[in-house]
Amino acid sequence: MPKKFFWLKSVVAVLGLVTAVSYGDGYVRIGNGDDGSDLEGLTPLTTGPIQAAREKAVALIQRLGVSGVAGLGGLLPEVQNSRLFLAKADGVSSLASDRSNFHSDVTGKVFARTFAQPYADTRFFPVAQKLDEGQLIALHVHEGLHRALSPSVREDENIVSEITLAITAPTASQDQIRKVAEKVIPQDDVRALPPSGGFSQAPTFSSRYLTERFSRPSNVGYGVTQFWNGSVPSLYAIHRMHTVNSDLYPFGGADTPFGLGLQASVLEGSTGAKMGPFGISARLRVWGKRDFDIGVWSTASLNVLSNEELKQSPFGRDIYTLGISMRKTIENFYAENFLSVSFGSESTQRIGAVDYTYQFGPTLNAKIRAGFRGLGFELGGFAELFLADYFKVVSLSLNENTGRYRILSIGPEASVRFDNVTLTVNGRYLVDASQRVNFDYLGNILNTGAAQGGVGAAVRVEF
Amino acid sequence: MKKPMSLLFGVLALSGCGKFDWDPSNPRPSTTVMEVPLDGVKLLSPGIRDPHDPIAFQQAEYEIKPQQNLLLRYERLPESYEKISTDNGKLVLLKVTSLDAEKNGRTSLEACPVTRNWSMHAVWALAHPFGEKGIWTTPGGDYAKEGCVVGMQKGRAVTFDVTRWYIDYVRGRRENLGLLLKSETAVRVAGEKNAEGAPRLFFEKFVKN
Repeated sequence: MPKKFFWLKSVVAVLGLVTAVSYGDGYVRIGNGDDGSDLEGLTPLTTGPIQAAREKAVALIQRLGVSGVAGLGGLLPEVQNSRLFLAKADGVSSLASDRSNFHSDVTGKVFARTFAQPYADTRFFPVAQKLDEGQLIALHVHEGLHRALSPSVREDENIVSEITLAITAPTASQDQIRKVAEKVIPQDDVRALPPSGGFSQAPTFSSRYLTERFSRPSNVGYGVTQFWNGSVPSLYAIHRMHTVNSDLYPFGGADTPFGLGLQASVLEGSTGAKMGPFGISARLRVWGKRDFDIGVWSTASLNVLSNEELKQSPFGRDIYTLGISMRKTIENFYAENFLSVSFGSESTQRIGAVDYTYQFGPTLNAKIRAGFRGLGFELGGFAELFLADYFKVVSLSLNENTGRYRILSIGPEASVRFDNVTLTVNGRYLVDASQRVNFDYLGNILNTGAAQGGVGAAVRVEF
Repeated sequence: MKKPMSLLFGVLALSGCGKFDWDPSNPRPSTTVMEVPLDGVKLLSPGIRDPHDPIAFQQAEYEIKPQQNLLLRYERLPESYEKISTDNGKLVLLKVTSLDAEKNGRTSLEACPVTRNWSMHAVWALAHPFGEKGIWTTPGGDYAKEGCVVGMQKGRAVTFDVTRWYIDYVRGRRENLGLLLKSETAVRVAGEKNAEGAPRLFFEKFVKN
């Protein structure tokens, strides 16, 4: 079809839908859109004009760059991946939510219904098959918006309709869509993803769509990591670490979320459980362009002074880290680079009657994460290089200095998401290190763990 | 550093066996006996893999036997360089206390010069966990066999003449790596938590008149 006719049809379709209904409230909330009358007789829709229209709706969303508009990042995957069903009989617009230009015709027959929540299916009714291509494209976009918008507006029929019109208008552009979105979507509801890095190993996993501006950047979580000691004994015999974190992002704008995170840890070792380092982090997304997200972050891993035993160990030091993260996400793939530097410090340990001072040099950390993602899951891995200036152990008669050393580690990462709860499992394996060093030499247990690596699991609740 | 002479009685009395030339009843003119405090004691055994295993240090007694050695370290010995002279037959002695039955004569205990630097993190396989230099060539501790000396026991006191170790390693090579106690039979000795019987290092010092 020539392009101009396509747009002409789009205009006709949208105007037709808008004006076709003679009644309807000025302000309509559509609820969950289900009165139970159409629960029976659904068949999957895999071919036909409705399916074909979806593909064109997807192409339209991609061409306009809708994913880059704050608050609309979820539209593309919703339209693209929602399962389509066709009801055997038409439904009557008995629900208030049906009384919208996009949901039913003049006779009250419903075109389509969906639950206003992510991942919901879309049910079309036979009357929808009479709509032309432009109308069906608008219908797909409209239903997708009900699922993709933030909870505070996704059931507001006027807002959803206004954005639908902005996207399907013949002269639509990303700028125009952004203007409409900024006008109708409360900007306090949406945030770009804050940067990860440091203690935060998997925030990108916790988001449904990595380029999406979403309304729940804050999270609390619990994690446990089991360390591998390998053949080399650990400087401090820690077997397991439990962490509890709370990352809150109340500050900053939609594209520049800023927040603070706290992380407490408990270490299990051969002599029982002890309070571990306490982490504080600050994260700021500073810039986004061409689907890249650039963020800066800083962390402080503080020795818990009240615990004498941990204080007198290689881990009894304060560590300050500054880092930058760069992330890009495409449809089913993500990649993220981190670059950070931890400043040097020292700790002391007394074993028997001998005092040892551990001196940790500045450490450069480069990390790459990449993987595949789909609806509700992500599967990937990371490779991480630590380049430290030195690690010294000094006592009256011992003066060991590693000089510059490296530690290269890799690990898998996987996560699955259930609504606002994300489960993550990951591993870390020491691939290569100079001079037989291991993660103990970094003395940064919150960030890198200990010994030869480990396996971990975490659960995170977003809000 | 001065210690009550009563603490040194056991050491000085050893001259009576004819092995050592310190005679408590006839101290040589212009000398006195000094003690170097013990800093590190670490028990090495294949069964102890955790560097921080509390049974490996700060104990009141240790058992030394095949496959179980005891490392001794005197971190502050270099501070005494100026005071120690081995001229004119003066000695450096290591004294440990046996917790087994009293007896006189040679023991199965040997004190050997350690040849690899170690820390209190030492375990059976590693002198310390800091890099490749921390691996024992011989699990259980690297030592110079030719430098081993047999302990002489009188009562419960077991004394080793470690003058050669001091001359060759501590003073000559500037390697104060400590001593390793080993035994072919099981022997119980007092540890550093045993205030009176802890391993001690003594040397003669000139006294300016």
